[in-house]
Amino acid sequence: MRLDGTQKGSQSPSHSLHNGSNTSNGHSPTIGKVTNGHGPLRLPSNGTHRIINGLSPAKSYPPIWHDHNREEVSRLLIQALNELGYTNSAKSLSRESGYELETPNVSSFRNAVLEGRWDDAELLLFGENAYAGEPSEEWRLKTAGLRTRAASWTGKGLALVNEANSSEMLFWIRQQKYLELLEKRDLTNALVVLRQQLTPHSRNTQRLHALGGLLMCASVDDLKTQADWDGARGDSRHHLLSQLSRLISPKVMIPENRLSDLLHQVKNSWIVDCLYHNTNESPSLYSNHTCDRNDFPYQVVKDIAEHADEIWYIEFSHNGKFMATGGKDKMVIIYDVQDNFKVLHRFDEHGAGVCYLSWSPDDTKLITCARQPDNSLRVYELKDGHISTHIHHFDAPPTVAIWLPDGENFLVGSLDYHHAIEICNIYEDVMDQFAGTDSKARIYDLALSPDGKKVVAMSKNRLYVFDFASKKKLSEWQMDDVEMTSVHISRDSKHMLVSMNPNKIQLINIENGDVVRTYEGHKQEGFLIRSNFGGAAGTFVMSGSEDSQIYIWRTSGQLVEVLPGHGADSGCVNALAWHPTIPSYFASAGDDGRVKM
Amino acid sequence: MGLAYNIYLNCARIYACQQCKTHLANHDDILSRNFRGQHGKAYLFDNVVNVDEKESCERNMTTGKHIVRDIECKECKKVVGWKYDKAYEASEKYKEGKFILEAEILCSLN
Repeated sequence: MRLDGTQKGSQSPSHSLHNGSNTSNGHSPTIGKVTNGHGPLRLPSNGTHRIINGLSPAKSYPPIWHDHNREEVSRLLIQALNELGYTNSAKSLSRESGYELETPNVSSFRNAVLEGRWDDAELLLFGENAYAGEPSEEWRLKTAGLRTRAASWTGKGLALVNEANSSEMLFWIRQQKYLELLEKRDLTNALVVLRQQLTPHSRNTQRLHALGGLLMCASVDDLKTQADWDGARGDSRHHLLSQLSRLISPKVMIPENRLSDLLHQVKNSWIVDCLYHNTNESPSLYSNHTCDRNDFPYQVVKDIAEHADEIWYIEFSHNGKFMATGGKDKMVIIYDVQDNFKVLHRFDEHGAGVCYLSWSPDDTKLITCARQPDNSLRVYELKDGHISTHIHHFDAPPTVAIWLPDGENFLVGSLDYHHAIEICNIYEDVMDQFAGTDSKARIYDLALSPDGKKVVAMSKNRLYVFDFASKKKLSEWQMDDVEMTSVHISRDSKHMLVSMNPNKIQLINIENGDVVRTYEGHKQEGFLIRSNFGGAAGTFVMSGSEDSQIYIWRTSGQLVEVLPGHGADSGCVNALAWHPTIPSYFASAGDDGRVKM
Repeated sequence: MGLAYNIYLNCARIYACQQCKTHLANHDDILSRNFRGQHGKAYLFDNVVNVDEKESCERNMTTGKHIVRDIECKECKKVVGWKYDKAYEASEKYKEGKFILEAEILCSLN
């Protein structure tokens, strides 16, 4: 139980109810002795139901409350009150209900860890068997010492979960002991701990070597950085406690923040069920949450027909103030969103259809890519409309460009296999190249994960995942029965959304390539149709389609809407863009040369 | 109709449109070199890519009457050959569905 994190190593309030003297019965697993008129009902409880100060609880409460186990609910509430900081309420709740959050053993264990009394901690955790193999004299000393500090200790350990590995837990405790000794510069004792206590219990020799190497550290700060450890006074003891408590049976030691976790689970299940969920706010707990269809953009409110021919790409600027479109008529048009979509700029320098656009992170520049025979990439400065960069060393169209967060460099993918994936900058230098695709890979789309760590490159049949920092290829998946057209990475950087011909969109886990979900219903067979995440919190998947309609699914798979925005038979809807700040707004670009909002 | 990049072939020898270098066919897909087109030598291919088909018409050729349609490069719109839709004579049936590309407008890429 962390009490606001400000009181470190303080006593837990339920422990203070102890009064130091245990005249009443120690924790008894059954309720038999305590008279509450419960009679034959025997509830298995590990919370203590005891007589406090000679007074029995004022009322007798039925053990089942609205189908919930009273003990569980009460203990959860006590824990939540403590975590919220209402310690007095927690104490009085404990008193009134007669339940305690933790048995005295658990509290002693918690204090032992937080105060650094490692021998006590080990004994409390494992019981007397912890020292099975050690010299009995030491053992007797330690147990005697413990009994003076925690008189109610019966010699049994705490119940652990099934998969708990007790030697691993022992290793952690002793590792912390070792590190703290090093911090105090008590090298002799540290060495003793390393040799006698850590080595026999560990199978991980690499870790042992690393720990041994820490002996060489010249200063305490050096030790801290090398071991990635923040010192006895830092969070490390709490951290150790959390680690250990995860492996202790949850009935004995309730996992931290349990009530909060349960509430999160309820909220998540609401969100998953909510079909039109389009907000980023956490749902209120007061009433069951559902979103209204009216908050969802399903009507066309604006129709812009500035392009003379098919529009192939559309994107809002990051601040939501501007929108850029590019298409077959070789023009790039920029609109002011707030001013009724007035046209701000028209760029027609490209000699071929514009197939991709990308706003810089600060929205001052725009990259435009054009296909053959132009095959070049231009960067426009939007203040005055001049072209700052023109990269034309491609023999085949650059298909995608993604700005890097520094606003100067960008990743470029192209169909020219000599320049398949590169990092270029606005001064037209080629900074880097990604190798690792097979020699003739042609890249149709790239995606940079929001956490900046991974780059996914997509050629027609293969997906490559690279680690961005080291430029090394992490994995590669081949899909020979489909042709992929676009890829996007989700906001949590864990999944990627891949559009495929024919007629499929799949959500794939980046780490292991498992297909999490498939979205179907739309049509794409020969052309490049793009899909993307949409909605305020990325809760929707939207895609264009060759049947002139817009398809929107919930990320959980249900088809939410099919919107016939562009006239029937007017060709494909090529790309969609959701407004980054206004959740009820998105734009679609189609072959009819129109942008619909 | 929609954005569609040109198809790129993966093969040792690729034939491409001389004017715009768009890939057209694989060397391995040649079925016969024994053809003559309007501009001279022509090859019969099993499969070609990046071409648009024009309307079919009936034509009399040295080998007989056929229904063919001209094919043009998707990119530069130059007529590069034709496709056989139907052959009236039994001995010419093997050509149905196959493509002729004229050697003169082709260039070879490695």
